Amino acid sequence: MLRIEHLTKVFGTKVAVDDLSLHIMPGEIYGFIGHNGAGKTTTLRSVVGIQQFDAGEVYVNGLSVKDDPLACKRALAYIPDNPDLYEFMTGIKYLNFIADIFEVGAAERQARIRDYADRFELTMELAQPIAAYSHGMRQKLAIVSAWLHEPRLIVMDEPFVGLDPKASRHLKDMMREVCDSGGAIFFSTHVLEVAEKLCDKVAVIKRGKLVRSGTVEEVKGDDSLEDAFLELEGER
Amino acid sequence: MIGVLLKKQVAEVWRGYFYDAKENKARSRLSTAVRFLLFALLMIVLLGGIFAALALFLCQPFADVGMGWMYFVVMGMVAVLLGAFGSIFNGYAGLYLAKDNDLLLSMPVPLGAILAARLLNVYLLGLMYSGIVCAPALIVYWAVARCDAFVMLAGLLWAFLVSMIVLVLSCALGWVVARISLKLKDKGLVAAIAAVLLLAAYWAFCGQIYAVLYDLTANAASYGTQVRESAAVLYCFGRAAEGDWPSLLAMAAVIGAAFAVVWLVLSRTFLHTVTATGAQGKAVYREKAMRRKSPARALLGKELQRLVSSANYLLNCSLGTVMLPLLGGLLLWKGGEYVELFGEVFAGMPGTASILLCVAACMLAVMNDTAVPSVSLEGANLWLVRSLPVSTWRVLQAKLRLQVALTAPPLLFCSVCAVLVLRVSLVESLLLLLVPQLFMLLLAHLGLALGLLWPNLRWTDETAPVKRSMAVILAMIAGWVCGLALAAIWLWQGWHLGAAPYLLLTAALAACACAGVRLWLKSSGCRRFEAL
Repeated sequence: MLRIEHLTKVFGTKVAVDDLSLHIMPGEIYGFIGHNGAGKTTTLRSVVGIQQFDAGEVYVNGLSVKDDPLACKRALAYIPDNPDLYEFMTGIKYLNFIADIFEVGAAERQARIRDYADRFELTMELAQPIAAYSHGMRQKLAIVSAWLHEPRLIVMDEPFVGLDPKASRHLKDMMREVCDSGGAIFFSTHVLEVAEKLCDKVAVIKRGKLVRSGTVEEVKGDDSLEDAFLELEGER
Repeated sequence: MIGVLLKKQVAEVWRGYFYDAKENKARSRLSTAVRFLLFALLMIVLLGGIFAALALFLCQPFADVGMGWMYFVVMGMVAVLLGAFGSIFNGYAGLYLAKDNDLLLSMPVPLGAILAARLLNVYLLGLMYSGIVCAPALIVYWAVARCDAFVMLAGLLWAFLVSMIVLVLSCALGWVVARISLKLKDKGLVAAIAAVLLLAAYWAFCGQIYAVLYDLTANAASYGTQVRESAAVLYCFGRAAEGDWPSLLAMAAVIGAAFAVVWLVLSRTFLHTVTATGAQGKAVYREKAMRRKSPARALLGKELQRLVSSANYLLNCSLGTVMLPLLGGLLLWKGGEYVELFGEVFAGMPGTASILLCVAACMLAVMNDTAVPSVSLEGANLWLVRSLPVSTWRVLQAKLRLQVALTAPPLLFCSVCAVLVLRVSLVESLLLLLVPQLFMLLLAHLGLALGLLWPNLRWTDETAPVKRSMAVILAMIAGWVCGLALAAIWLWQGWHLGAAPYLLLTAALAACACAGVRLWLKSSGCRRFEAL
């Protein structure tokens, strides 16, 4: 579903991502963990085609992000760490805008908006301008918009930040639904308990380099994921 | 504390001149100097020149009859009008809409310090506007009438007090706009309509200004006596600039008191206004049948929503849409007289009326430049368009199309009116319709290119990309220069060609230039956008 090969991104003299390779299979929830500034966001932004990278390749469903970015973007959805959405639109206008861009039919979008917005208890707020939304509401709207075109791959940067427990639970369920239907999820998180319980596989990145990846069991061994992570970080 | 905030505020205003956000490094001294030079060129030579001409026209007649104070009343009022009008929405946006309001309010910073820093921003802009009138007014007076150290010192203090009047008015009007907008749903649109009405009144005033000025200079003594007797405040205002110290002190006291009142009102209502969510009822979502639009239309719709959501953006970048039909209407009404007048003045240059009306339409089309700040206005939302499955060119096309959609119909209407008035040959008529459209297309493409060359994605106050950016200034200058060049070359030698061939040549040049810029946009322009 997603193949990252020798990805390298340099900012000035700083190597943000250094020769990183990962392979995410259909049906997998893949967690991406690392300390602040480790290169997680840079990797995710490169994967979804927002940021140009210096070396390596990223393939989505076998298509190169460099050579065929539009086809790749059609197959995936991205939620950034800070959901800066169009504040001048209302929630429903924003969702319609995203549905138009992804060419989602009128009946399908109506049904999906109803379904997902109801799950996140956002329906009544859809006529409000996004400028009036709280951080959590924006995050919910970003999630609903990401699911609108039924992407096969969803890339998320810290998706649980700002969500209330109920919404977090809904998101986890929705992530599992995507994977059960043959899709894949690649997301970064600092919440190691979530990663441990939710993910099929995890990758740990440190100073731009991949230090360990595999199933949660393989990465953590006999310890908790938190202990394993801190050990990899040299904190223990 | 206040020093830190002021430093931040000033650094923000001039950041683009010293720092290249795209390259993430400081600009070279040469690059900074060129930017300041261009800015100075626009403000001092172009705008200052216009007001220097006005000052030269007025100063001597008033000085000759010993009524220099009346000259300063007129120039001071022009400065206040220009400064206050130019700063209403800056006052509103600068005081209440800054993106870092929440951040600063969450810090242990006194409210007064935040307010003072915001006011400095408004003050600087007001000073700039009033300064381009006051500076030439003073220099001309010192050169023509009287000049000694005391008069010069008084003049400088007078200019400072004028800028304070502008600040007081801008803040008061900004506060009124903020109070009204709290109760409005479509704030941007309503504020823009209100401002257009204000502007219409301003233009109506400008339409009469020459008659008024001639009348004033011809009857200076009589008007002077009337003002002196019935409007002592204005007399005092004018005398202050001439070096009358009691008048200067009285004026300072009045303005100081007005500022104190404004400060009191602003400081008492600032927190409430900044944190208010609006008094209008909460809109409740009712599901309706949804319609599907093409991605291109969706992107255009997004650009349009962005425009109508902001009074600043609307007023600064789409006023041509209002002005062009007005010019068309004016031509239908009085166009015959203008054509006759041009025929008499330029008797040896047949076709001049066609060219000048074409230039007039083109110059008004320059007022529409939505494409220029549209790249910078993506700001923190840039990730969105970059993550969507649409090509970069399509995103840029939407920005171009908005400007074209806003300008082409009113421009065509204006051109049709000109053709109806001019009654020229079919070929010349068609060219009169074509040339402004090509000029407008060139402006849109050039504006977008400038927006890509000088982007500013890290603004905290949208007046930065809409009003103060290098791209906007250059686009405006480029539009004016192209329009004026069209008229100047015609008057110099072009008339030998005849109007139709001259327009044909202009159309060919504009089409070639437009195609060239379009090619750049599709290749390098797209790459620049992707690398932002």
